[in-house]
Amino acid sequence: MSLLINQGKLGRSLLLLTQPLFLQPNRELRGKAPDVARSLKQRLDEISRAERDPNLHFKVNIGLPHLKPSRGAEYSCRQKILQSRKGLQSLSNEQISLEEIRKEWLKTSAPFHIKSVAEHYNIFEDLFGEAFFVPRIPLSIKYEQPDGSNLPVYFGNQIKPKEAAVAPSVVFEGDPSSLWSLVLTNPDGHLGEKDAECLHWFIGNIPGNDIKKGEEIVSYLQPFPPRGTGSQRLVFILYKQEKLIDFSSYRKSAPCLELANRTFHMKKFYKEMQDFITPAGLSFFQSDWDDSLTEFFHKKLNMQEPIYDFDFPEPYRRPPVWFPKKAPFNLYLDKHRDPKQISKELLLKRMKTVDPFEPKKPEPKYPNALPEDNKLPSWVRVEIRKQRLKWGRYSDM
Amino acid sequence: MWEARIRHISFISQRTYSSNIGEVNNSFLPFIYNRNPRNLERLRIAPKPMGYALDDKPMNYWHRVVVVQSNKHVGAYIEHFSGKTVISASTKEWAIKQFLRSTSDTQAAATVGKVLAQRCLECGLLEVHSNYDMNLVSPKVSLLLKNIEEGGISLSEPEQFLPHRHWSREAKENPTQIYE
Repeated sequence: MSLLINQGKLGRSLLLLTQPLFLQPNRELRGKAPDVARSLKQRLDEISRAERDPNLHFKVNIGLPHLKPSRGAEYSCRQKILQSRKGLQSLSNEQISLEEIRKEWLKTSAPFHIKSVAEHYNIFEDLFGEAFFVPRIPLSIKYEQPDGSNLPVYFGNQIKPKEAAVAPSVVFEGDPSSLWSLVLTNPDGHLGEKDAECLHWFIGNIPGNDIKKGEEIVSYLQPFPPRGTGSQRLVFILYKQEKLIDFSSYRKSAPCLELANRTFHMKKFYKEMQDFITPAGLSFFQSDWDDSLTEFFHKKLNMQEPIYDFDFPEPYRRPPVWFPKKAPFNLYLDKHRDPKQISKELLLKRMKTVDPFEPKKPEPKYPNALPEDNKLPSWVRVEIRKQRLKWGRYSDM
Repeated sequence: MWEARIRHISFISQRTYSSNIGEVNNSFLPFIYNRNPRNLERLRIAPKPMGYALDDKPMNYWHRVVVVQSNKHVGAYIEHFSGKTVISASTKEWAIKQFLRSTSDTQAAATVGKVLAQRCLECGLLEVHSNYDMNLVSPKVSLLLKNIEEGGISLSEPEQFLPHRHWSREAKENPTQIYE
């Protein structure tokens, strides 16, 4: 039948109309048909999967095992609570306290939530590589402030260096017979090495849950994120020890203000000790620069204060030519000049006009209404107008 | 792909204060690699996806809040643009469920909002994007969102900071030099 239709002129045009778009004679099919081709997301996933071979890159759980309570006992206990609540009026909004919810949350789903937040902050990968753990032991860490209040460390909240100047109090639940060690490390703040951490605190062989009875292997040093580097992560990790461990190779004498001595690699440390320690608790905060650090660098660390700035990628500029067509010469040349040189010239120009011993001159209400020198070339007058309106680089003038 | 771009960052040293200088700590690199993946998002420098014109809900956020409702339960979670769920709160959790009379009424929605706000503060997310129009959503959802806002979370994210060019007309403050 189709052969018959193909022979006639009418049949051919009918056939063309019923064909899908990409089979019509004036249209070409580029790539595979839409129902066969993969979407952009599928293709990107494929690339990332090829880069990470599942036989080589897989995550290992190095944490404490999950001791799940019996489902039946848990269920009957929960049912009892729900039944007792049934006869009552519903609690009003004020009566539902967030603290109680948080307490219950710490007992039930908090470890999994904290793990997912820590993954979001890339903590496991930066500290342990291809390993992770579920923080089964909740840590309650608080920085005491001079005014008497306490600043808790959760998992990613902001604490300024000023507020973390003194070692915090750490509370966790542990048998009196068990041994623990606590590490505070900063994976972002090493000034001298690229993929190293700065060790801020290390207490080993803590009996029970009394931090003060443990050996202080490296003394506490406050966070010191340099100016311009943004927020750094400071991670508390609590390890459960199998036995008494000799940490003498990590021990540093008390103030330990030489930063090179505080170089630390969590992965190496864990590899060495993995038969005797198991990560059990995790808590971390973020810290960025504040004005108390200048004194800390100068007086305590006895060093220059480093100041950093974000290294933006260079903007694309068309390569310069000898005779640019239709380009205003001043703007064209300015674009290819060193911005530092330009700002230096502007600063010198500004210093000529400003006198520290004289009061500031009042600014004109309509700056561009002031008379202009008509004899000047037009590009100079345009620059003067920009300067009066404080556009762009003239904003400080 | 985005993640790789964010992580390969560098800070260049420009100035140093001079003071009574010791010789111990004064050998540092000109570069610091801040590996914190959330740092650039806090500084507003991180690339923010622009989404596509035909998207149902625009994909232009770093973190957004998503409300999940069913006949029995109310929940909400914070999602990163890469698709990862950062933190969540739901009436399905025993910790919240046991204090509620019903797991789907307005009070449940308000409680979920409060709890999610508290958890966001604890994990350092102070600004999240919201796709919801307060005038169009159901009263339950709007109550949930209001409670998140009252808990101290801003429901709008700042714009991405595009690097300043010395020839451009706008003068911009550098976000790495701003401290609250």
